[in-house]
Amino acid sequence: MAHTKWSMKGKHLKNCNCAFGCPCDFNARPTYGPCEGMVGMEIDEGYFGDVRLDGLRWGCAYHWPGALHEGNGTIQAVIDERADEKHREALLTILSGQEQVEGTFFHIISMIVTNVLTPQFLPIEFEFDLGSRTARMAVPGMFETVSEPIKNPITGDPHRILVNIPNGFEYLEAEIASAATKGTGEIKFDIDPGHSSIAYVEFTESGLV
Amino acid sequence: MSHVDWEIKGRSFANCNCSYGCPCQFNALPTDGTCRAAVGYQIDEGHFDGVKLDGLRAAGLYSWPGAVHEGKGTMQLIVDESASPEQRDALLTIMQGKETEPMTTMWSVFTAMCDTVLDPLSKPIDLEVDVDGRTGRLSIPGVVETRGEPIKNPVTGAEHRVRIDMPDGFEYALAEIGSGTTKATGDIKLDFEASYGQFSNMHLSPTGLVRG
Repeated sequence: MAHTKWSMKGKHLKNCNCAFGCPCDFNARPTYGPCEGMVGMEIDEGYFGDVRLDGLRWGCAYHWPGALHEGNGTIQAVIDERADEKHREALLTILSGQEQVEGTFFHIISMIVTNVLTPQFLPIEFEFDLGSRTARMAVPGMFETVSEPIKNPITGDPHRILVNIPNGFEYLEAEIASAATKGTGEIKFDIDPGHSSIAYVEFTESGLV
Repeated sequence: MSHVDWEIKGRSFANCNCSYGCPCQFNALPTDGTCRAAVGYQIDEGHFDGVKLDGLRAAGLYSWPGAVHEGKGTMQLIVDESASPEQRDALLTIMQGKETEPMTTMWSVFTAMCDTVLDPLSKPIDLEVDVDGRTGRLSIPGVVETRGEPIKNPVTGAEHRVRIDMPDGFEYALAEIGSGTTKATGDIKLDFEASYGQFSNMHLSPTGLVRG
């Protein structure tokens, strides 16, 4: 089936409740049982058909009762309030797993979520520096997360470690950091510290580039 | 401080009791609170001063009551029985973290975090390590049996490839992660199944990892 051509290239942040080194990346079970947190991005360059998506931000708060692949997740998306009607429709189409081949990040998420809460349109604050492994995403009334380098427990020195998934569907390579993440909207969580993945990615209708 | 000139190039296969994606690598705490591991080392090329180490095999068994950095571990080293006395001494020196800048190799770190060092063994070591294929086997009769294979996707069963890249690490620069199963029945007892397996190329010297 032919899909609308689209691309979202930019800064990707995923902060969750697990220990540093998200077990999902390794097909292991979540550290504490459930899987919850946020994922979001700022699109540096993007389009959906003839709609430009450059500079827009999106995020999701999520909760799964167990490992992702066991399903029954709850998710709520938030789209940048700067997005116009066409942008919103394009982004929600992508985030809901439509107009893409099977096995993409958003398609997989759509298969393991049973409860999709009403999408929000709100201001999204975003800061991101891959080199220093720092990032922040804040959506009033929904969630806030702040990433910083993992520290060596003895020396306090920053610890640099990357996870590299050559056939990955979320990222090919991510810097791993530490994050404090709080969900204050319909999906609630309070994580400090938890795992943080910081990456540059390019999602398209046929998967990661 | 100056050290004896030594260098080791080879491959290692480690299996510990944690989940895939060993939390230690990330400075997180072990999955079940304790850290236990079996590691096999295939030395492809190496020397310690004038002693050639090419083709030798060695192994280490480790058990910590908590995270590695909390110490109080127990360890035992095994050197292949084919090693000459000089080779054996050389390998044990390196693997006990001696003639090494402190904390610049995993052997230095592991030894510093163990307060019980059991007598080393000399045994036949059967070892296979395929880093890219994520398969391995370590077999030392009466001591340990370890097998490694790729992680499988829990839904599709497809092999899952994931690597850890540690630019400033003391054990490896890049490791392929797989699944391992170990049973150790000697002085250090280990029993875990389908847990973290780590396959990596190693290139070490008295000042730690040789990079690039």
